[in-house]
Amino acid sequence: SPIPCLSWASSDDVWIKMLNKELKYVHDKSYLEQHPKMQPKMRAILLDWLFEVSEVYCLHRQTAYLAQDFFDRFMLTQADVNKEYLQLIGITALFIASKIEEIYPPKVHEFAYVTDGACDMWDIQRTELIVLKALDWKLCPETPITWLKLYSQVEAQKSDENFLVPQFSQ
Amino acid sequence: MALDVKTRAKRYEKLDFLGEGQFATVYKARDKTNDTIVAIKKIKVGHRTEAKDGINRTALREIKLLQELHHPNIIGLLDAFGHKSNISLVFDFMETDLEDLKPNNLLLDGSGVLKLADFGLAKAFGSPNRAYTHQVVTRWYRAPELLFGAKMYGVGVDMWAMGCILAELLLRLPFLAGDSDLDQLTKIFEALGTPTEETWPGVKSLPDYVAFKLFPGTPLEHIFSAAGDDLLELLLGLFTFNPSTRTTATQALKMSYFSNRPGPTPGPQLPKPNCSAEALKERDNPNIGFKRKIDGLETSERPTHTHTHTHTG
Repeated sequence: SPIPCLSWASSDDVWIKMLNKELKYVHDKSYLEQHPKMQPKMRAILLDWLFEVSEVYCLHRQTAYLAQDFFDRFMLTQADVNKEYLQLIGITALFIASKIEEIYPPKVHEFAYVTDGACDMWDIQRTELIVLKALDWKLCPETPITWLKLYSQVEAQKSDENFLVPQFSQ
Repeated sequence: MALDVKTRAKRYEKLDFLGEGQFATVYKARDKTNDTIVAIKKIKVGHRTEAKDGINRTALREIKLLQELHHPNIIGLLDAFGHKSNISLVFDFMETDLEDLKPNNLLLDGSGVLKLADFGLAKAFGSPNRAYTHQVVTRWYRAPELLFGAKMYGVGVDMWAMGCILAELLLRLPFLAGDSDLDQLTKIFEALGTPTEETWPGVKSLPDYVAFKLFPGTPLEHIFSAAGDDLLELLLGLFTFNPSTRTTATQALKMSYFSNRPGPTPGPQLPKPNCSAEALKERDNPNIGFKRKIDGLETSERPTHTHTHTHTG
């Protein structure tokens, strides 16, 4: 394992577990080809909006990244999704992620509210189970946040300056 | 969706009602695809306001973790299915009850292998410095830092619960059975002595800290008069007030209690609790497991050593 010794677990176990996740949780950026009505820009707009909603509701970063993972993996299981459904799928992914990650997740009506009439509570509720089944109940991906957390923990063990301190070129 | 429930309903044939907890009803069923006996845990929808929030999040978290955890000492999730806000989880057949580390959630299978069940409130093991909710762990097994409202806590809360379970195996009664959070703390301090800033640095800064009468505590050897020195040493480590010096799972397993004679009884040789007529019938069929609660261990003279690793990295 390239990870140095950790105080809280065997670094080999951690490394292998995190890498194996990538085998179980398949991501494929080419999924857009399965959705001719969708443009790459639409995904970017949707994710920007989901991150904005996460900020407004003070959600953890991990929640937003989980939602992104759920959205991408869900789209991989579908074909030719209409762009009208993208916001519903996105907000449902964030709804599921919040229930998993947050101590006090926002209520379903609060998620409906931020769509400004595009989706109602019942749409989100109905889509929830569809998304969970499509994901085959696999809800524990590694996200950029889990990797960053690992690196921070490795870094925090060192006594020298923290790598999160901004470094400016001389 | 409706189709899914129909196919699943056809796949599982309900045989028997097993039990009911705060959050779920458990049934015994037969999986017709491979003729095995399973336990189906149907999560209660709760009242209408709760159902509005879709799938019960306790169930969702349990599914999430059981999907990840594969360990001989952890109950296996075989399937999950649902309709609307209803959700059912299919487990290896054993008896399941409520959440977290307490005797009701420690199950023994037919070969005497211990299984942890119920991960509804479990959290993935991560950085120890994250804020969590302190409303976790059934009160009797709750660590003092949780009762004082700590939001940053770690695996120490599980080790405290282990201590309470071990004590319960010795006493055959819950060790610290408080009827409110305040009463729980009183019971803890009466038994173990009131902690001070010296024995537990930082205790006074915890969010819900209140000063208690200074109880001297009772020596553990007086409470657990039948326990040997090695077992008392283990209990003392698990009941350490300061969470950062409390014995960890790794340290505990290295203690002499786990290597001293007599060694643990092999699982299949463990005494079995009184069997119901139905269970006796099942015993004739070696393909079907038994439901076992660890309460059955009280039929053995000495507590049996069970090695568990709750955190697998």
